[in-house]
Amino acid sequence: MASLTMYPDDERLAGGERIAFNLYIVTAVALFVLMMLLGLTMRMTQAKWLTVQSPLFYQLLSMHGAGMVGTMALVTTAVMWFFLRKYVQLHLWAFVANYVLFMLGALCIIASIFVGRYGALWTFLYPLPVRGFGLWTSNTSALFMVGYLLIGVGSLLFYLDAAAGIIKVHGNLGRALGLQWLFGGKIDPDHPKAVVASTQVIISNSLGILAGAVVLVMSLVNIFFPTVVLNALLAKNLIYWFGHQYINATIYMGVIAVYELLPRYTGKPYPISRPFLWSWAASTLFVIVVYPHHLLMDFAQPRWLAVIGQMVSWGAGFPVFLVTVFGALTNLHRSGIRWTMPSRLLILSMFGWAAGIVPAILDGTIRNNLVMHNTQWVPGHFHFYLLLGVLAMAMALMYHVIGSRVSAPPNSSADKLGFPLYLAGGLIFTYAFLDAGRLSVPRRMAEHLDSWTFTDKVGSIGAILVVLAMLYFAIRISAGLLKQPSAGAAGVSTADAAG
Amino acid sequence: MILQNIVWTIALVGMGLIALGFIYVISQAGRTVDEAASIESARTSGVLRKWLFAALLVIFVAGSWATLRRFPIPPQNRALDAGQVVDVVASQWFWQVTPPSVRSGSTVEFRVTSTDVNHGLAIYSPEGHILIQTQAMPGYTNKLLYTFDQPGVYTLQCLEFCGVGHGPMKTTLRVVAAIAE
Amino acid sequence: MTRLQTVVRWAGPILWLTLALPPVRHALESTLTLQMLVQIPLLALVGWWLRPFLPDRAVKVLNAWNRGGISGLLLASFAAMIWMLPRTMDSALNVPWVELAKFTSVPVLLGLPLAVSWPRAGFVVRGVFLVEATATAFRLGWLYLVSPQRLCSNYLLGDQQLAGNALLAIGAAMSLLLAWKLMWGHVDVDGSHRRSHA
Repeated sequence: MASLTMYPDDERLAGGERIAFNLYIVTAVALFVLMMLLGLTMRMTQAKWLTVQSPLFYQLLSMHGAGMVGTMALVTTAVMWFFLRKYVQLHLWAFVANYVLFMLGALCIIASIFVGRYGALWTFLYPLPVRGFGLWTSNTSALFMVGYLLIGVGSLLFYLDAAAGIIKVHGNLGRALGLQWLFGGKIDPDHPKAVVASTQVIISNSLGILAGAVVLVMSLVNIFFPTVVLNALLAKNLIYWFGHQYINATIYMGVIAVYELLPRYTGKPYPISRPFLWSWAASTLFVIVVYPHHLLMDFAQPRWLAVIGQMVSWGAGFPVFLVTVFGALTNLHRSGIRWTMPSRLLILSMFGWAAGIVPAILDGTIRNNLVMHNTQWVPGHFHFYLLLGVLAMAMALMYHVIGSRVSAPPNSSADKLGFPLYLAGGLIFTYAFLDAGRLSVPRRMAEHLDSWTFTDKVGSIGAILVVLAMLYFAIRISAGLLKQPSAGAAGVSTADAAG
Repeated sequence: MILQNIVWTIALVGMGLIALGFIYVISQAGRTVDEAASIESARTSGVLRKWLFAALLVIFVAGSWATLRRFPIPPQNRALDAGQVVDVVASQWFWQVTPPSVRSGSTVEFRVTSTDVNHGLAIYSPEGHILIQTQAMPGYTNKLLYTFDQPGVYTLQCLEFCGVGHGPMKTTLRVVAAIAE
Repeated sequence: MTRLQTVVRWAGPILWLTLALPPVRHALESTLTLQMLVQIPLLALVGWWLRPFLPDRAVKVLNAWNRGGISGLLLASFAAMIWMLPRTMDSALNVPWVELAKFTSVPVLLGLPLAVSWPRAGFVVRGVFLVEATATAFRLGWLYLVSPQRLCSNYLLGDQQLAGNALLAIGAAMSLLLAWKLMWGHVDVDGSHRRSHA
């Protein structure tokens, strides 16, 4: 059972751990602001408030996509590490190696985009990277792919170290997931939710990284030996299998912050249960097999794959609604919570995830996909749960940690202004995308028709609010992290904090 | 009502219900209750979860049945016997559509492929919303069936990013009134 | 030393000589699949079984340069990479000194380093090695299947396809085996279990 102590001793960041954690977080919030600025630039270009030439637009889109997915993975890895290290032995070298490889990979990607003018997007969909029509060369695409490989190796090192730690304590990954308790038996009340979620991520994302390692190297082979022609549909399957699991892992790493922190702020225990274990067992399976919903419009795919894609997309709602979100709301209900930044962000993240799933499920339905696929509906739904869900989870932990540096949970007047700004901006921004999807506005397009610019303008205004809020959060969090921890803060109990 | 508006309405209702749930719980969150009452609300929450599970299960089964009973994608491995056939070939960054016009009222089979990268064929109505789409893949031919009700000028727009000329990659398809036979 | 132990000790050299016998050699080199998936793995096994012939002093020196088994596994990977290239397998059939190089380098630079390094490698190093090996099986299988021309002049295209399918099967089997072992099996993480049970 998660401890209700606000700042338990085993979460203390000592020496090298503190430096590594700060590096992760400060890098991530800075990257978030920068990547959001790129996003805003693109929305304002579509709104015709800015003029950006198409080649540059698609470079920015490539950077924004790869950068946001990567940074989400970076910051949620820090969330997983922060909590998992309490329960199993994690080696700091693996955590640092992931960071170093991430940065090297990021350098390759940045160079390929801004020096080599790569513009085949974060999905590097074969064979577009080798068909840049002179805008970018195949070597540029190769550099981009090498960047991905470096980042993938970093993730793999971190996951393997975590797997070693988990297996040492729990015997194997099946027992760490709690599969032995699915059909009966007394559940160990101290079995950490962080271990269950981390295990799911290790299983699914290792498979994703394996698929990525195969398709990236084969794409590289194609670049250097063009006579080796790949099957475009097979490459697409592997790319989406990899991409889907990689970005979804960020949700499952991020939600550990909710499991760990929410009970401390509500003051109510949040025990592990059989439905909880079922939901994680199910979502482990779901996240591995759901990816065909990205290929519903590839009619050449076997029909059963499309059916799996739709039915598992729908099924994926069950664990989220019935267990994670329902559990969080039950925990919050009549808890006498006093709202501070971490608790606000935690509840926002639950809302962002739950509500963002609705348009996702609708789009994952073959019939709807025939008119919604590749419209702005798609960025609408994933920005909903990445911006209002996953990023909120990660920022909840950041705010929680900077709270240990001062005497009370962070809740300044500027915070009280920044939060609604972020929420309102986020809602305006994402609903503008969704509405544009309804109006059949394509995603990933530099040139917009005049009839499409209304939602672009609304979206830009929302994005401006989000960027302003994020800029404030980034400064506030970075400054807070760099402060020395206050001696008296550790061990402040919920009861004290809630007054 | 076009499908897009139905989807939008369901999304707004679904997200709205979730928001209401959150607002209710948040409005109650500041209150504290004694032990007896909290045991009572834990019980209520358990019952509520069972009902929610049942409701979702009904939606899942009924929805899957309703949306998959008649599979929305035509069979790809046998002849479709549509009255009209249009071959669509996508290349960076133009369309070859033969023939460039079809008759309304009878089913059209679009045979869609690509000579280079992934493209997407979206058919936009004269009013500007997507009627149907499929991917255009190198090495594959995707077969799409559609029956135009109204004559008019329809737009074929690329809907899968295919490089810098992606946005302007569009052409028109003329749908003429069926001649009475 | 019992007779059995003596036989086991000499299994490596015996297998080595057997593989070098002209009829065996020709049989195992008659198809690409046999050369790649039987002959070369057996030669690597020869190297693994040569481990007892390494004097303790040499092992000590090697270990100093082989922290966590990383250098040895890297060396083995490079050697494997060279012998996975269709071109090298091809010229082994045509050029005697390449054949000689295969018969010496696969045991000495692939099998032996694996035998020396694997026990020293921790969970993470083994994991990276196995994931990379699995990915390589899939990549090579895919490559063999889609290569438009014969990669080896001595072998037929159909043989190349067979080798490709076999590699994909090996990749799938390795993935399933690893997944099963990690999910439900018993995994010895850095020998801690062995120590605690001893």
